[in-house]
Parts: sequence; structure tokens; C-alpha cells
Amino acid sequence: MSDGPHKSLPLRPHWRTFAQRAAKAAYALDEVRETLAYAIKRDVLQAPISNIREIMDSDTLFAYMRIEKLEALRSRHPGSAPAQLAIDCAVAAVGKGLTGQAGTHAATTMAIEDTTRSAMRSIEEHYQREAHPRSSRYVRERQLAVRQQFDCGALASELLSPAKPPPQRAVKLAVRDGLDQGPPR
Amino acid sequence: MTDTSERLSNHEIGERLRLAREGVKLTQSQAAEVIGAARTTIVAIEQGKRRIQMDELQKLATSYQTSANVILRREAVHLDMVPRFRKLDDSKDIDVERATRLLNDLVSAEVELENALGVTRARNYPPERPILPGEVRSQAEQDAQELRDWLGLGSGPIMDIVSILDLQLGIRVYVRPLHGKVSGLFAYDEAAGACILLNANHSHERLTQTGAHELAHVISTRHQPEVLTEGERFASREERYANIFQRNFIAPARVVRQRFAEITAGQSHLTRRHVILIAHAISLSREATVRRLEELKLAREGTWDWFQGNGGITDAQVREVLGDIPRPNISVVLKGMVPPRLALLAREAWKQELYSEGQLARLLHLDRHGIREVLDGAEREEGEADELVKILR
Repeated sequence: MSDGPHKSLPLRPHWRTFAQRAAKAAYALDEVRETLAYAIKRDVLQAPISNIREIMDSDTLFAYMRIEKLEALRSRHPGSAPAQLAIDCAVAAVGKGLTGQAGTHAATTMAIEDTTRSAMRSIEEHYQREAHPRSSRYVRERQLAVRQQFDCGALASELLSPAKPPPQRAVKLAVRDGLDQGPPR
Repeated sequence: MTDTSERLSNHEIGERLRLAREGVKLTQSQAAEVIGAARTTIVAIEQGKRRIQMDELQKLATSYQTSANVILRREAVHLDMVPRFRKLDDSKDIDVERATRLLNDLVSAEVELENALGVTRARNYPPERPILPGEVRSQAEQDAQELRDWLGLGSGPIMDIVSILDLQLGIRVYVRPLHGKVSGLFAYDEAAGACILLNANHSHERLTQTGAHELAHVISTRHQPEVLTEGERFASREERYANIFQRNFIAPARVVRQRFAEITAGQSHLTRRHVILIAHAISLSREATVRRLEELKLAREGTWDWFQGNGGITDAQVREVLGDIPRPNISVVLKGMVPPRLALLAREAWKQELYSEGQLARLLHLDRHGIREVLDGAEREEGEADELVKILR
């Protein structure tokens, strides 16, 4: 019995879990959405959110100085795609004239949106290559349904609400292992 | 096999040597090297045109991993099932090879005991149902239901597949510890009949599934040997037939639907508790139960993966729902790896002093402890013989 195309998905394990849930009818849309939030958090929390927040909150008069600080931060995270993406988004937010808490929130929201779009596109393409057309259509529809109900701004607020964002490893997927728990019929 | 002449003919010895050589995958040239002769000498010996010398026989027997005694014993039965398995693509593996050899030896041993005691095995095989053109699914479902009706199983669960195969259908079935990836083997021989070897290391539920799978081959593709190994991708029509037959024989759709409706009445979610109760009611493993529910569209696709992704369904949870009920066990596993009928033959042969305990242990590939377990019953029976009513013949 085949495990399904999620096994060969060229993304990190948390995105494979998301793809698996999106492709299997036993997972309710709420559970798929929950996995999306989990996968995004696992990705975005690799970015130096605290440093970006510090730079955004710093007393700098000129926007170019803030951008210089952000560019300097880039060199401290070589090879980390989520970090580079978050910095790109922060630079873009500064370019729009946003600073402080609003700037950090806008940057994080943009990073979440980009991460989601990119991962969903990869999953869709992978399923179109590897799965039956019916199955790939199903994945596409479910991803779309989840994406439409997903609030990236709310997730950004959740990540930014504590003084220090939680470590990436602390983010876990809820396990429903009770005797009277199970998928919908 | 009941030839009265003391001495085996050259032809018979040659044939036995050929089977033994093929059993260890030696070429005629390699065998010729063992005795320091030309290949044509081996050809002549195997064709019965030249009588083998005793020293040559001993050397060859050693390299064939057997003994001169086994080759020369008049009553020994030599079957050639191993080469047939070798034609299968997936039987190149050493563990599969070992299992095919074991099956061959066990069948030979049973036939030899039958010959010694002058009994024959009654074959009660259902009529052969070759796979017809068209959809395999409906044929497999129909054949499985027909066989259940024919066996009078009703809608009850299959508790002991070995007894059904061995005693009801007259199929030679053995349950021995095999490598984990080998689930079962099936072979058909005109003389010996249908023969099945199952892996004793597997759980009761899995053993039942493998037994039913091999039974499907008896029904449909009797003349094709088969090795069922783990992780296979079943593509052929024969394998698809066997899988569908297996599921429908063990858990008929109507019974599963009925149990499902009774147990989950009015519920919006299929919970672990439901799965445990349904699996218990139809005597199937938890995974097989959920997969069967998925197949029958009673559960959504990916339901088993849902449970797996959320911690699975544990033994502790089963105990919580069902309590400490004794697990069902297949009679053979429970009673020492010799099926009921073969155990009776071995006891009888031992009681009549046709075979010693050691000979029987070697024949049946058992250790001393194992053969004692088989023969213990015979001793007890003898003690109580006077009190028993004799079977009229």
C-alpha cells in the first residue's frame, strides 16, 4: 500500500503533514487549518523576529538607517530562507514607512503570507505531478478552502503577543488520542 | 511410493539427487567438481544411466546439505516444489528460499508419514474458479461469499483459519516461524495437493489474513506457486483477486456494515472505542478493520492515517474497552506448530514404532522439546485407551 505523494514532497516534515491532511478526507477542514498554522509557525519562528522587533522599535530618525541595520542582520543568518524572507518583508515594511509594533506586525504578516503561498504552490505542483488528477484537484480545493479562512494577521499577532516569541521546537501539533476521539464519519 | 523392492533403482536415485541439487541451487558442473568428475557423469547419474558410488553419494549429499540416508531411504518422499518457487521473481531472497525449502520438507514429511501409515489425505477442495475477464472485484467478492456458504461459516468471524484449511478443506497447512517479511507461501503439487506455510511470528489476525490470501490462490490460481511478502505492491489481477477475496472472506461486507451500524448508531465521529468494538466483533486487527471500513466507504479515506497521526490505537486502550479477555489463538500455534492432523499422524507413527522420536523431530523440523509436545498427547491417550470407545473401521 502506497503512503501517498506527501512522502516525497520536497518540503520540510511539517509541510508534509499539512499536505497529508489536505489530501485525506478523514481530516476535517479545521484540522487542516490547525496543521497549516503549525507548519507556518515552525517555519516563521526560525526567523529572528526579536531582532527585527528591536530594529523596528529603535530610535532611528531615518528609514535608511533601519534598513542598514536589517541588512546587517541578514549576514548573521546565512542560509536560512525563513530569516532572509522575514528580513525582506521587514525592509519592505520600512520602505512603506511602517515602524515600531505596526512595522513588526506588517513584516511578520507578509512573511506568513509568502511562506503560505510558496508552500501551497509547491504542494499543488507536487500533487499534480505525482498524484491522480482527482486527488490533486481535491488537494487544491482543500488548500484553497483553508487559505480563504486563514487569517495571517491574527497568526502574526499571536506570534508577537509574548515579549519573546516561543522557540520553534515548542510548537507542537495537538494529539487527539482519547478513546472517544476520532475523525468525522 | 509403496514399492516393495528393497533397492532403489538408478533412475530413482538420480531423480532424488537432481531434486536435492536443484534445492541448493548447484549446477551440474559444480556438482561434478565436488566428486572430481566431468559434468556428463552427473548427467548420467541423474538420468539413471550410471549407478552412483557410495563415496560419490556421500560427497554429493554433504554438498547438497542432506544425507546419504535421506537420498537412499525407500520411504523418503522427494518433492520438487523449491525449483518452482525459484521461477518467481521475488523468491531470489535467501529468507524466501529458506521458507520454500521448509515448506517442501514439511510436505515431504507429511506424505512420508501418510505412506508409512497407509493413509491418504481426503481433498475437499472447493471447485477451481479461474479468474475470468472483466472486473476482478465482483468475482472475488462472489467467490468469497460462495466459499463461506459452502463451508457453512454463516456470518461469524473466522476464529481458526488453520483448522478450516487443514481439517475442513484438506489443504496441507503449516505454521512455522519465518523471517518477518515473509507472510506466507502457497504451492500446489499434483501428488501432494495444495500446501500452505504461514509465519508463526505474525499475530493471530495477520495469520488469518495470510491464510485467507493463500486460500484465494487455491480457489483461483491453484497451479501457480506464490510467496506473499511484506511491502509488496500488488499489481497483477491474481494478486488483486487474492486481496479482495481475503477481505471478503474474513470480513464480508454485509457483516461489517451491520456491525458498524449497530456500534456507531447515532454518532457523528468514528472513535477509537468504535474501532475496537467493531474489530473485536469481526475478529480482525484494528488496522484491517479501519481499512475495510474505508474500503466500504463507511469511514472517510485516510481514517487509519488519522488514528496513526494521533497516537494510534494502543493495546492499553483495547484493554480499557474490552477488559483482559484472552486473545484468540490459532490451534497450531497454541499446540506446538504441528497442525492437528499431522500431529495425529506423527503420534500414530511413533506409537506403532515406525519412527523414533529423533526421526520424527528431524522430519518435522522440530527440536526435541517440540516433538515431545506433539507426542505427549499420544502417551496420555495410551494410558486411557481402555476407557475409550474404539473407532470402527
